Amino acid sequence: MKATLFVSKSLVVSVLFTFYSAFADNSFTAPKGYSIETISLPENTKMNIAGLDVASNGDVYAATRLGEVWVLKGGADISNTTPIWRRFADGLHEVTGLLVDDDSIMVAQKPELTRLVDTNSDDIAEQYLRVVKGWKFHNNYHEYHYGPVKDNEGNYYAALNLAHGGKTSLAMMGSDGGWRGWMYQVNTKGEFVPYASGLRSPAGIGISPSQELFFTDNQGDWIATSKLHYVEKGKFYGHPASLIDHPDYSFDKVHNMTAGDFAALAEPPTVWFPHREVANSPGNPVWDTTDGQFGPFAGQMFIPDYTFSSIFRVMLDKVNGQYQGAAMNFMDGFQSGNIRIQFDDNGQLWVGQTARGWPTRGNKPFGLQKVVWNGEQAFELQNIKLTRAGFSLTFTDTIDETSVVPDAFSIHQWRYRYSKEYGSPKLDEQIIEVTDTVLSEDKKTINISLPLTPNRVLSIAFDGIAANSQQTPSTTELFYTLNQVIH
Amino acid sequence: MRLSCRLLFTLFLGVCIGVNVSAQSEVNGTTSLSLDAQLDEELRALSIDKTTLAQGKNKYILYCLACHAKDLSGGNGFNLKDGVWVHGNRPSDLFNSVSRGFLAQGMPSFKDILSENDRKQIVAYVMSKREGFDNLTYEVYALDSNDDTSLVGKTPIKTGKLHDNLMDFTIPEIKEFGVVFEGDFYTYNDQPTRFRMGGRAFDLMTLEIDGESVEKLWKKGWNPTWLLKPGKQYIKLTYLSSKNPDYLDTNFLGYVTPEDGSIKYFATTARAQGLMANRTYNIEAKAHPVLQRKKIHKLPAGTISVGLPEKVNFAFDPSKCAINALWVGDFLNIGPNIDRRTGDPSLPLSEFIFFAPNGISPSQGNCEYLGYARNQNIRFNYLLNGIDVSLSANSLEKHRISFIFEIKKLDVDGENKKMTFSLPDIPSLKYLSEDGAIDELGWSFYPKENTSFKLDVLVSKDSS
Repeated sequence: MKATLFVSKSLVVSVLFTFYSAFADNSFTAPKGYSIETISLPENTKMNIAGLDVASNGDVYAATRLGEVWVLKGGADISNTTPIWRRFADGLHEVTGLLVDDDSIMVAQKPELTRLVDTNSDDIAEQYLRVVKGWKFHNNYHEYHYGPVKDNEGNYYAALNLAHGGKTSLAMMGSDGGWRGWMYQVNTKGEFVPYASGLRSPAGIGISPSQELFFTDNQGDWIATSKLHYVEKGKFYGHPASLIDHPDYSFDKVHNMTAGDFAALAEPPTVWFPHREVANSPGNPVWDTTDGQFGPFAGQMFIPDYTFSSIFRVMLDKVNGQYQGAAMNFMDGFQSGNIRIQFDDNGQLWVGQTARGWPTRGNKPFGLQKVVWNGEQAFELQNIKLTRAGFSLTFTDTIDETSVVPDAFSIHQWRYRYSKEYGSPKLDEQIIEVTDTVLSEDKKTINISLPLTPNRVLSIAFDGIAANSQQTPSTTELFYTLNQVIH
Repeated sequence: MRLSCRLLFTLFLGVCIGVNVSAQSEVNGTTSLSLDAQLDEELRALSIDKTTLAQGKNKYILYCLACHAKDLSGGNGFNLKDGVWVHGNRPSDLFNSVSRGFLAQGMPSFKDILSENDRKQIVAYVMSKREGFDNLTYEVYALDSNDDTSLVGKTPIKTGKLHDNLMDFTIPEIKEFGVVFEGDFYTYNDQPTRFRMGGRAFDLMTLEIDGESVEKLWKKGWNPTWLLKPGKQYIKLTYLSSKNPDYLDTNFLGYVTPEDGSIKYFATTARAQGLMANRTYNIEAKAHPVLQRKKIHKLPAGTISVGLPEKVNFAFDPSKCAINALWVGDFLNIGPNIDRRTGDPSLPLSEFIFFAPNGISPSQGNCEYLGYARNQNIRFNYLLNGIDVSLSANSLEKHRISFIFEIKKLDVDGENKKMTFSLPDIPSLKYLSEDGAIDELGWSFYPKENTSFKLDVLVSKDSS
């Protein structure tokens, strides 16, 4: 039976302004065995962290919106109980990305990608070197600069936020040219290479252990809800303002195109993050490369969310050769807006935080925390994969077979509208009934059957599922982006 | 007597010792209401007279700045441009305050220090700098419903005077309300300014200036904005909460801005005043030069500014390899640029002597910026016509800055191409160089003839 339910009455404006109501529930989620530790900060400075990385020697580098870079010497070294902060650099223009690159530090500041070099090993940078030229900054406050990340061949990737307004604004965000709204590459010859277009406010870039590039983008005009994209060179990811710099387009051409024209060009998001449900302002994706030091999610993607002050998981699923997948909350209750995360070599997940200009659930103005795992096994959803008949959900422990019944699941689906409007309501929302459930022999995987419709986002809640130990998962709802069914 | 008092006054921040303070005020017992009214009229006329204002400014700098700040924002003495007037807000009140002084608070009687004419010039200047509302009142009305869009026939449920002269949108305290703020309003005489409110530009926020309704500069979107008349005017702002979406925060921000909206001059609402108060984050060069790469008012994107401990400051534009601003005094307030979403520019703490597009700029050829080095000093590195150049600056004495161009490596063909830099033609600047020629085209030298070339820029002391 199909029934239309949960029809969202949210107007676009309410999407924009009522997310405080998402915070009405003051309870916090954390899987068993995980806890948050708060790091003391240097005094008398504004530590709005928006760039974060950990060096192989355990030094933790944090870049701030004030324009400073600080290093917590040996901060990731578990035996070091009194790490000290040193100010590594200052005077930069709102740094929103940082990479430890062998012996130097790269920062994405608003007007420049800059390499900071400490030439005399005193933990203070003496050289501030421009890495590449070729793009432009026009003093618009929203022209943030994210990254860089580096691939194994030595290429760097960074992303250029659109301007607020701007000459080519087709709605709210625009471009005054100079490759705004693009991801760019700095190749091994040091050249600027425009890499992919259609980005709006791509606050997080990540490169996977298998060298695949991803970025997150924020809900807004032309972006129905926040999302993750797998990035391929030359492709267009949805926001039209960037196209004015594309060699095949022009200002006039872009302004004479329709939403349908742009939709035909745009790549589908790899994973949608439903607004007010899993993320409102996602940061950078990282992969759990800790070989089990961080628990049962090895190899999976984690992303911080600024508004929710949370970290969520993304489970990628390759279907017909294309990535899609699911997002679900991992932990919340952080003290400030989570914008950057990074694993260290000891299995700790560092969290760089700021709360300025936009509201956050955590009430501190800025901060640095880390998530640690004490080795306790939690009963959680470990992974989800699409099957021909439905989905296969794998848990971290054996499941109580009496809990595995269709009624243990509640599923509904919807789609989004692609338009110049700010965000999208849920369209064609429907309840989907699970028709069958089968528990695997090892009792860790449930295969569910249900009717599948491509181009839908599915909310899959599994409140009825319990472990043999009668433990229940800390999070019982995921959001799967079903771009395609299996051919 | 006048000189010694002036020195003492400046040195002791307003406590003028040894001044013969007359117990008998010039105005005490001799002025009548009509005389004060005459004085008010005279001072109002002087406050829009350019010659008087120039003279008044000079005297203000000499006699008042130490306590009341160069921009009149106050220090040991009161803020002289806001809406709070402890000793009376009429021009004659101001004149009498200057004349009589407040010795217990450290302000001498200027009657014995300055002539009547000098005091009038100072008062006229202070009046010309007046900002915001005066005699501001409010009326709050209850609306019948969310559809009620008229105040006609209604009686206010609450009225009063706002002693801080800031519109306070928390006063209504009911869900469906109309509010009217009105009073005298002062803005600058010497440039166009705008009256901007935060929030959506609803039709139900309207502005009257001197009794006439004024059109918003744009009808849709955010931040309803109106063009102000110069100087003094009477403003009536009416706002009805009807048809508000629930999310709208009606505790509005309000500011006066320049015509391009690039900065906020002063607040017009209580909430905005609170935010403005937290927007000071001054960067100061102490033992070593400091550097800030920030959005700076009037300077191009990407500009890098440097403050030297000797309080000489300059800015460098990497896109043109040009020194594109110079100022003497305190360095930079980056507060507006690190507040909230960072839309507003950092503010130099004294006036530019020159700024972009004026500059000490390479007159020809290509420039490619490479970066800068920071040790004890700051050194900008770039390629100019293929020649590897570094630029640093120092100041060995007050009001003098030396720019040093070092040739790190000549271009590949090693030609001795003449390098020329434009020099801003500013009366308060004098250029000297023993390492190159200075003529009407600017400063030039031949890079092969030396490894280091110095340009001295002397700043007239009057310009700071």
